[in-house]
Amino acid sequence: MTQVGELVRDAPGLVVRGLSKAYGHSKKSPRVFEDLNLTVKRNGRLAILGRNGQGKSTFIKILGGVLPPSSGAIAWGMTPSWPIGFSGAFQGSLSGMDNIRFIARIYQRSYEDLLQRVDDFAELGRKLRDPVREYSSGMRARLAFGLSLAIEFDCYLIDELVSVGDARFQERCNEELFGRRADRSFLMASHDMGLISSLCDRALIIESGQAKVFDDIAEAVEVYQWLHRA
Amino acid sequence: MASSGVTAVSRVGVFVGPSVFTDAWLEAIAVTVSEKGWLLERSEDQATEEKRATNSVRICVTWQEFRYSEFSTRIVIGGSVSAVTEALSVELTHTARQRQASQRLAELRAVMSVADMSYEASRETITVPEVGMIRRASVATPRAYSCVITDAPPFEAENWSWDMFEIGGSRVSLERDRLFIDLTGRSRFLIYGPYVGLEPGRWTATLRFTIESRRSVPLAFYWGSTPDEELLEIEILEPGVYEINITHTLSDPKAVEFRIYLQRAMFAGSMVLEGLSVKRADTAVGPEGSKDQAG
Repeated sequence: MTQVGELVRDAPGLVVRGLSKAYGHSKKSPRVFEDLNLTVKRNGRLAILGRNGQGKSTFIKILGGVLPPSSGAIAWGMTPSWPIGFSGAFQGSLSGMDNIRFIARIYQRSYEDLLQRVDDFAELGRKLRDPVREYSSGMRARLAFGLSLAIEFDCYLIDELVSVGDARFQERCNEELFGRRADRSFLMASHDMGLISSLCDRALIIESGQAKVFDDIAEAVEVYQWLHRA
Repeated sequence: MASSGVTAVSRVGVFVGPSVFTDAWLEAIAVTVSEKGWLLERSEDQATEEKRATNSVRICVTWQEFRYSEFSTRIVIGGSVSAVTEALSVELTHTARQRQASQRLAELRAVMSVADMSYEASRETITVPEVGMIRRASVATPRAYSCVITDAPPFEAENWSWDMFEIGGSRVSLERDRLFIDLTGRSRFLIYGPYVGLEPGRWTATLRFTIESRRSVPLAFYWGSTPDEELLEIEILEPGVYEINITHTLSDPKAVEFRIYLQRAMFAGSMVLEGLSVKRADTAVGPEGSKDQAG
């Protein structure tokens, strides 16, 4: 870990070294990916590409601390978000307001300020007083996304942004994320090659347990599109 | 278009797979016919597609070279070598019914009739008339080729090292005269060159190479003088050592090139160029009119 920390000082942002993930503890457990190495500079924008089931979401969850890696090290030189739209950390029996209060304490932010910012964005109104378990999936997504934006991060982890909310909400999400936070870093998994091409400058492709970084985003898109068709 | 398509027939390619010489397998198979703005997709599902990929010969006929035309069309047919002609007919009819592309079908048939399909096939070799041949090479076979023009008179023997070739944006390494190419990346020319001048006559280029890849590797080999060079297209479906021969006729003294084009993007895989030899395939006429037999 010390060595990885030194790497971060050399190239502030994110350093991943020798990262592997397998579900199951047996040596025969299939690897989602193995010996993944990459570096992301501050303000870097890395696309995470791969066919369904190849491990994009797993990788993002590992980066966001939601899942542990099987081996390897991750060192952050910037503050990462949790996976945008991830609502797995909500306590269902608590209201939306109580969940916001909980997050505010963890991140040492003002509850009132956080509540105001979340409500401005998520527009849940009085529904924030209801238990989160009674929320629809759309409402949960709005709350999760509102919280993700209410706390300012250096780097946003995005897993298929398009799956969050309706069209109008997605538009607002895009403006908030990529318009107002254009100076931030993004690690983004998506199947939308138009979005990827316009927003990212590098890409990681995960395929059959292998992961490769492409410094040319156009080349990565071409490779991915062929994999997708194959 | 039909008449111009017929006259434009000049390229024949062969797709090679693990069971390429199986003579017993034939079924209704997919046709991929594509051109600008007109694409007939395979009608089968992916599983059948995979099955065919591992059990069939696939013959490709291209009648307008894609590099020099905004229009290109390819037909990929599965089936045994001996049944190729029949398969073409069956598939094109099927395609036309599906897509109501009768006009296109007429064009395709016209092209087929010209593109002589009488391939010479054996269990070891496929020969494409007027273009060349490909065969599986044994791993144990000693490396027989280096970058040397083996034909001497009336020309001096000339060494062609891989250094003389241009590398098309690939990660490569050279070890003991073997050029290792990382196939990862977009479709591209892997190597091209060396633009060395040759005298008139028939010249055969023989390339021996190794493919390592979990997925098929579609390659196109060009040999000769631009823009009349020969083209041989191959889709390598399994790893191994291969040897390819392409013969090109030069009517005038011209600089020649050997190009290898990776026809689609690859996520992984490597190609090792073991060696390339160029020699005369006919009786050469020397400067003073004397005839020399090619080696």
